[in-house]
Amino acid sequence: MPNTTSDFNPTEQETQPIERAARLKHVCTFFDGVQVLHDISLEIPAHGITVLVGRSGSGKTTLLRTFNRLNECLPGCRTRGSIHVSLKGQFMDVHGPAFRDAARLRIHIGMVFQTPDVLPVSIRRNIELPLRHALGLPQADIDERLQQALRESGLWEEVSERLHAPAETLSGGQQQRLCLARSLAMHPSLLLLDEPTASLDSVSARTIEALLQTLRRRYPVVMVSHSLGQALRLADRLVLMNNGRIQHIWNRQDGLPDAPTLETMLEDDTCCT
Amino acid sequence: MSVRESRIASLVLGASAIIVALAVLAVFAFLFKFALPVFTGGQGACILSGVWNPFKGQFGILPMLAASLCISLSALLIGWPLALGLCCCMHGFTPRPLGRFLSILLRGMTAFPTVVYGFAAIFLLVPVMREALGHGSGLNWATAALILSLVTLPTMTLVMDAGMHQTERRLRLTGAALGLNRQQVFSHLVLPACRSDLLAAAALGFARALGDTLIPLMLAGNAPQWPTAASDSIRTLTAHIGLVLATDSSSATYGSLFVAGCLLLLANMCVQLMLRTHLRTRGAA
Repeated sequence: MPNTTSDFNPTEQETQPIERAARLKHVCTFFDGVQVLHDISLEIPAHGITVLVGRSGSGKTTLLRTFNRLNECLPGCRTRGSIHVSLKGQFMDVHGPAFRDAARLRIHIGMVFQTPDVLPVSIRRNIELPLRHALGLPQADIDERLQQALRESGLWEEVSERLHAPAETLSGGQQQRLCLARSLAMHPSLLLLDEPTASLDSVSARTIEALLQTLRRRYPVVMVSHSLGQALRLADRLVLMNNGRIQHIWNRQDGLPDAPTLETMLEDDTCCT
Repeated sequence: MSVRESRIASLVLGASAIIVALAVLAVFAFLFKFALPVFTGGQGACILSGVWNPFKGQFGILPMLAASLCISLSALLIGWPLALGLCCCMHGFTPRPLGRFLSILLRGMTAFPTVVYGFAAIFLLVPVMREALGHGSGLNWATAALILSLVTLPTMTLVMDAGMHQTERRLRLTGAALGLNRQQVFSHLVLPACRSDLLAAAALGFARALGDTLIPLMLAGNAPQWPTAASDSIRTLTAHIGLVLATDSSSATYGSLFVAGCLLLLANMCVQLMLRTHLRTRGAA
């Protein structure tokens, strides 16, 4: 059965005009009783890219996965606090009754992982499968969205002649763009990217970055990055994390820090205490 | 691991592989060596005929080969879908506690001696079959196939489950992030990706059923005739080997055992080769 969203509960929505894509309030996450995120409160703007930076183990990926409740797929996870995401014009509590089945939430939130995680099927089926089974779309809509998403991700010219080829036959960069296209085809309300260029060469990474520059106008994006250069190039909002806490937030209009300053802050263990 | 340790590990593994290969070759050589005189001694055409009547000098074992294949295939046809269904139960189609219980039960079932299944069936299933069919002793092809499917069920289920577990772990987060629930991930991603495991389980189940001796011996009736109906009493090659070995050690009947052994090995080899060829063709496509 496709996961439809017709049962959104209007009592959960907020009536104020929405200028933000998501809001976390006092979010704490635990794995097997060990606290990984400490009292995180954060707003994600409705437009632009929010980049999470921080050292390994600082909780960036866990924070990213709170938006689509993907942490729940991992054993021993417990999350506390309030998480609201703007979905199709409604500001929804992601733990509310409309999302008892988290799959209903995830069809609205696209996610791209660190390593290209193409499904072991053809290029076409990679995009088609969630559209058919998660969204329940008819074939005509699927074909339209497939082509649109592949064009948006700059992949159409490269794969239009071989849509039935296994997705594994694509290069790493192409696979990652296919994963992005797969998410875009779902028409997400929020796009989550977990180090999308970490496993790619510099040319492929630049291609993805250029793509994100165009996507930032259409989708709110939350992205984890280990590359400070990339973070500073892409971020409209930069969030520095340390030990599961938000250490600092910068907005581009107020000025982002320079790379050496950011690097120093990352290396400083005591800066957030 | 150091270079020296790695070299020792390679040597040990290589030696183990050679020993196993030699052991299999030795079994083949032994069987062919003892089966050859049966053919060269003028009994050849007779042994591959369709009538078993030692008192008239007729030693045809083809009906037993047919019986072995029929029982194994019917056990597979009953057991394989059941194994697949159980795997679905263990991978999200039933509540988790039930899935865990099934997993523990199946692992436990692998440790049950085959004779226990046969013994229980004589008291529980055979009377039911006798009543249901309305004639005969209840010891027949259908009874043996039903119990064999139960015997092969844990093996097939656990082979499928092992493959599915790995694949599900690999695809679970991706599928979940795409908004697919656990059942959708399983049916649309995991199952198609586990095609080779499903085939491997079928091949293993078939081989296990073909090689089983006790269940056909206890439940199939042991009449050396061509199988024509599920209610027929039949004798499989393995049951034949068991019966003759218990009573004979030198006659022409005894000689037929080596041919029976060869046929069993060849049948199994054919199934394994067909499976490998199929998988290779699929992989290349």
